[in-house]
Amino acid sequence: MSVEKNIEDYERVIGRDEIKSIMELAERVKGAQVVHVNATSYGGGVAEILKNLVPLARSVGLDARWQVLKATPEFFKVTKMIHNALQGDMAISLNEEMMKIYLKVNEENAKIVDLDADVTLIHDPQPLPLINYRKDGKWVWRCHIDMSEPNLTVWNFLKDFAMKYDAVICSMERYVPKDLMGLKVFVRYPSIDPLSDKNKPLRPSEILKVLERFDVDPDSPIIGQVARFDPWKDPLGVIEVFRMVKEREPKTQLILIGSFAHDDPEGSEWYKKTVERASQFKDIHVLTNLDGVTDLEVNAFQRSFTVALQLSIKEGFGLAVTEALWKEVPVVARRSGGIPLQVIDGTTGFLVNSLEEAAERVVTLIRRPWLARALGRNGREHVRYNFLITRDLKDYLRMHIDLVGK
Amino acid sequence: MKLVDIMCVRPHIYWNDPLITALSIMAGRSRKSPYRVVVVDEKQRVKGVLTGRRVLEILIGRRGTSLMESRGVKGMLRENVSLFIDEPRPVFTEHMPSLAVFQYMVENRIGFAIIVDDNWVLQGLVDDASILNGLKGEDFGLPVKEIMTSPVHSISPDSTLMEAANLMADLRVRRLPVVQRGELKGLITITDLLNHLLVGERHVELLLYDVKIEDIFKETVDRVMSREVLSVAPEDDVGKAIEIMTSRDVSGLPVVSKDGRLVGLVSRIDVLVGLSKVKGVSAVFDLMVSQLVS
Repeated sequence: MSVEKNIEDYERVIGRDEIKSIMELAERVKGAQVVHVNATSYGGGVAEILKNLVPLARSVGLDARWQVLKATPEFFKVTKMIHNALQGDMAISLNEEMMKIYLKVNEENAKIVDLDADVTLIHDPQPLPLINYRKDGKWVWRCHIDMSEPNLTVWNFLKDFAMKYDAVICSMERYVPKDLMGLKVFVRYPSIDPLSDKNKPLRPSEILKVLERFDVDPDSPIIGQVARFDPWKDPLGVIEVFRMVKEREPKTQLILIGSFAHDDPEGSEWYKKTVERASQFKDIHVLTNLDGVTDLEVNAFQRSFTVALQLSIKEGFGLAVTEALWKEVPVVARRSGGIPLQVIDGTTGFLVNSLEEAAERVVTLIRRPWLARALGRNGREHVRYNFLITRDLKDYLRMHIDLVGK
Repeated sequence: MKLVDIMCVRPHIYWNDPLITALSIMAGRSRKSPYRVVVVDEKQRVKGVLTGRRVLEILIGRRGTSLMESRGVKGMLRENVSLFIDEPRPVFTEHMPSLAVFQYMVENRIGFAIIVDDNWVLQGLVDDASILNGLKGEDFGLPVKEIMTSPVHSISPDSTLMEAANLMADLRVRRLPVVQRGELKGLITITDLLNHLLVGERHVELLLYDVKIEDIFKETVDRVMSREVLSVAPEDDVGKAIEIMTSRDVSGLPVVSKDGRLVGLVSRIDVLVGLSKVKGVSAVFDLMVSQLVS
């Protein structure tokens, strides 16, 4: 599930002094047992973060590990509803049976997941009720979802669990639930690992090889979105933007990349919808992990993009945006979730309010490569100063010092 | 206009300074005491940010709890601030266009941006106070009620300072209007609470003896709050709010109706976000630039 990492490797990205200050903080919590629990080992931002953060934490002396819930499709159906409700779908209500499934799976997991640690970090709502089986240590709920306008019926059900935690971490100030009185609250931006397979530098020949393998023309403009197949990510909107761009820039190609995560039952349904719509146009590639698209291929595709799209209607933070910016690719995106923290309109990309506007901006960037390059350079600089994993690690270390430091 | 032209210089502290130093700087009696300080290392490279709320949270046991258990308040005040800071964000290099930084602050409702050189050496800040300075003396034709935050939480003058501190920590706010029977009686801020720890050399006692914060904060809000409350009316133009905020150096104002009822609060960032929504980010920025140039 995770690879070995060495903090020393990051010296060339962040410098010697920064490594030293990370090690000084780590010394304060050396040997602390930290367990992260989430719902899936791949697909989506949380797995992406944990895959890199946990081994990095181990490399600075924490006894960190990552556990994944074992659950049935019925459970994930319920938790997807919970996810959507917390993101603001007011039409959702959970019946007795759904609540029973949710609680039962957590009860069963409490018996098989090793939760014995100084700090237990529970990611997102799927494993939230595990707190009921707490034995010792400090418990932290890391909520990656935009909870600024949650469905209150569903939130009130979950709040009873959340209130039992010692602390809550949200990705943005406005996501912090207003009714979590008395809890410690941390606001932390997610981050990307510049040395992971997804983000490490690639040689042009490696990129070309991937494009050839998937029959993508490297000499024509490529636009793309990397996101789950999910209504909130609006893959059909992306295709509509492509249709409008194609009318004016006929050689343009579109790449839609997603992955099927265990905890996302809507994924295959929306994948089918996307493929069906895509089949009406030429030059669209809809790719998933099942086509052999691993992190390395995603990296190569993102580097080949002339413009990256992120047309999410709701977004927790939008790590795919961070990844694209890091690769000096300008991003055209909707103003949702953490996207405006990354896309500075006219500086690292463009923020848009409609699909028509998105198409207009994409055409502009295709026709003006000098502008795309300038925005791309700004984007990489913005990520370098604000959203790299080493910053995230320091924030986590300070939180561990806060909770269990000596 | 370059970023350096809209930057300002604010006090900063060093990452190996003890917490008591931060408290002394942030809790000064002057209105110019900073609510937020940038933390730098010996080469002036930016290492983090410390806010008044964080210092208050530590002192009332809402942060750094594990260390507090073993050290008590006097030990905590001697600890390096580097343990309690947040990673610095947002950080921009001086090459970034000034409009982009302004736009970023408005888009994300962030009251400040840290400006560094290529080696992370602190160059200055762009903050809501310095931007508002470039907008004073204008009439915007926009009433305060259009941009204020409402409803607002308030506290009774009979509540204890500890209750006020906990409420501010829970609500993640830095000021509370003090209201009795619907009437605005005063305003209490995090800076007031921190300042209360310095008055009468209490901080010396905190450093030397096992004094409990609860004992210091058992006094009531009306003993510490500001009674001379600067306020605006809901119908007042935003320009008036800017005038008061800049000339009196306050970060937020209660909005009070003609019959003395508290109807909202307006802060510097509310003004910048509200004005930008109505007039457009570029128009507000251009206005600020034209004033700075003239």
